[in-house]
Amino acid sequence: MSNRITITRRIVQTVCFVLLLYGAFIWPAHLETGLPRIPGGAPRTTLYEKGRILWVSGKESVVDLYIPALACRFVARGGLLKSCIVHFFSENFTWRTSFRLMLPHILALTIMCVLLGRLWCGWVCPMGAMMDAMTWLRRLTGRGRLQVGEDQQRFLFNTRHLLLWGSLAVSVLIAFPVFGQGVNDSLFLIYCQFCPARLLYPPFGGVNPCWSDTTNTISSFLTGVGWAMFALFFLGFAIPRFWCRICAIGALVGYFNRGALLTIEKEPGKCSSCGTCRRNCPVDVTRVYSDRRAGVVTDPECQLCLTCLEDCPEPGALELRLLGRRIVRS
Amino acid sequence: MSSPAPAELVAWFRDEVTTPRRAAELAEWPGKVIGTYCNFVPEELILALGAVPVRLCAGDLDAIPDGEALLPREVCSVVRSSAGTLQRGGGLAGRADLLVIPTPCDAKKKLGAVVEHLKPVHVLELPPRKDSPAARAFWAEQVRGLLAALERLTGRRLRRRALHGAIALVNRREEAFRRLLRLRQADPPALSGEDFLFVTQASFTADAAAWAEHTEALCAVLEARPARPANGRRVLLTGAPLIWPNHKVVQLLEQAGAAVVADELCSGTQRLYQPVALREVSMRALLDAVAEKAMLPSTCPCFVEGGDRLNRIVDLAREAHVAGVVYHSQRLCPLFEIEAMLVQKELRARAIPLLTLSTDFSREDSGQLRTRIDAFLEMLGDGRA
Repeated sequence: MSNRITITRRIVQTVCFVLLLYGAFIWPAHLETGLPRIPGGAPRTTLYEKGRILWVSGKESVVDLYIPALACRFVARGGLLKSCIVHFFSENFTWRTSFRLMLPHILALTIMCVLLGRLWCGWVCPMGAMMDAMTWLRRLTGRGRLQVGEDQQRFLFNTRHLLLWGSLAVSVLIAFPVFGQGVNDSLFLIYCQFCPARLLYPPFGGVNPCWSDTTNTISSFLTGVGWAMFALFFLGFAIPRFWCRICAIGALVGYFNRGALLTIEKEPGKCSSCGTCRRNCPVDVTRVYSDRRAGVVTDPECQLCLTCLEDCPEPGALELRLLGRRIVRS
Repeated sequence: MSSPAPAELVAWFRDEVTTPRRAAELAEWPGKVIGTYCNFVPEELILALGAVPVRLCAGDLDAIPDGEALLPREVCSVVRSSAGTLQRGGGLAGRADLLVIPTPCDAKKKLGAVVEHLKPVHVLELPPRKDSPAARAFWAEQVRGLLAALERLTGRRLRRRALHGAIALVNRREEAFRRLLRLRQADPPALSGEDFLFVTQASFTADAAAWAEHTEALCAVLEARPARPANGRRVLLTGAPLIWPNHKVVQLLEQAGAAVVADELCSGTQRLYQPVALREVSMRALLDAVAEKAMLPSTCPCFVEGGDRLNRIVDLAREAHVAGVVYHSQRLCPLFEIEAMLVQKELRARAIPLLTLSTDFSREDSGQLRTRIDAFLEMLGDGRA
């Protein structure tokens, strides 16, 4: 059994992990951006003070680019790229940034999503890399994974869409002073406030994230939610890519997955129904197995890790195509 | 460099199938021998427990009268012959410490009941539909039941590492097997259809590692050998299993000048075709993987779903560039007889020529079959486009 794809993916993931978490250590460049900025270190409002959840360590990012994977504003020294797609919409909705300024970023993000779909999750995202590392460690011990039933899978699937749209809705609402200023502050970047990356990434750069914020009831509550999510992250030891099943970024990028230009395609005539793709899928996608029509079998949940394609024993049954051109086949 | 004659190349395999060599080897061996029927029995479990699996499905015409002491004549040749081999005793069937009998058809369902006075029997039950959540759960349970029975018999507990090793061994066998399949399917084919059946059926009984070594060596020789001129029309053989000495259909085909370059038989290509690709390595995951591999990709007509076999036949026919398909229908087996009609419908729609031969182990119809085969090959043309 060849494992060329897995090895390639591990290398890409490692490189992306290093670039996204340590990029600002390597290239201490200054950012030129038209968008409003969160100034690190020198707080403009209480929101960014040390001791608040949204305290930003160090500087701005090196490159003015948001990506549909978990690059993060809270990385030490600001990181190489600006942050994730959910962060982009949340902050700019709240700031009521002019559409003219957002347009280049929206275009760039749309192109990235339409081109590669959730390949971002499987190959680029440092959170994904950490989830994979956890699975790898568990397998070293020979322990089994926890099975996720169909109902639980559906529950997680629904939850993530609720998190995504709920967070975006809050970000829009607090742009208008109906809640009052204090509430406004505490609900800013609400998704970041409980995303485990905010707690996980800074320590990699030697920075202590803000573990608790008891400024008011809302920030205390969100601190609690953040801890709960942080704990859930470690369920990744028992369930492969557990966080990815909740992640709102994944939910958003997943909308593009079936229409993306990068596709997994199946030739049903070559399929022997052995079930390997279903059994070995880290996120329990069944579509690759159960779809018996020719053509695209990419699922919204699929992260294009290509495990199915690599493990498929039938030459030519599965293919990865970009714009209809074959890149790799089983 | 002179290349060895084809007969010499497969001599080891042919001897394994046609001589009592393996029976003699195992007669002195102190461990447990598990007799299996069908490919549904996960051999990995048996190997991991240090026992030896031998597939006992029989093709012996001479054993049928003995089988008729146990079973009515309206049961197919394979099952009557298998029962007869057990009734006679001796050989590998006599050596087996336990028989594991899956239930793909009514005859095999009851085979256990008629031979249990001769040998301990474990019946491995198959679900009617192979891929529903209920069927998968049921089958996983069945495989664990088999494991418990094997553990009791051998007095060992299955270790995760041992199972992992057994899976690797069986995967090695599969890899060599696929290499050989490609050689047989080449144009011109590197070995005959009957020789391929000998190699495959040697794996029924042979030590798994020894079989893999011999097959790898055989592939290396065949790959190095200069291509011989093409002979005859390329055909795909499918349908009911051909088990030595009942090689009648493949022999008649090749004597008539056809080249059987591909097959879809459970005593042929299906036998070692599937590998087990592992990601999770817990005991549960290994058992599930082994169980799934034994049933899910099966193209046995015993399941409600029949699409996989049709798929496979059409794909093989295209991939192996065959001129026609020959369907071996087992007389008295409704499953194969019904499937023959489904295959006919599918192939007709795709304009792939099909010859259906309904027969059993008897040699009386050889002349008649030969005539039909000749006519079919003539219809396919002389092999030159």
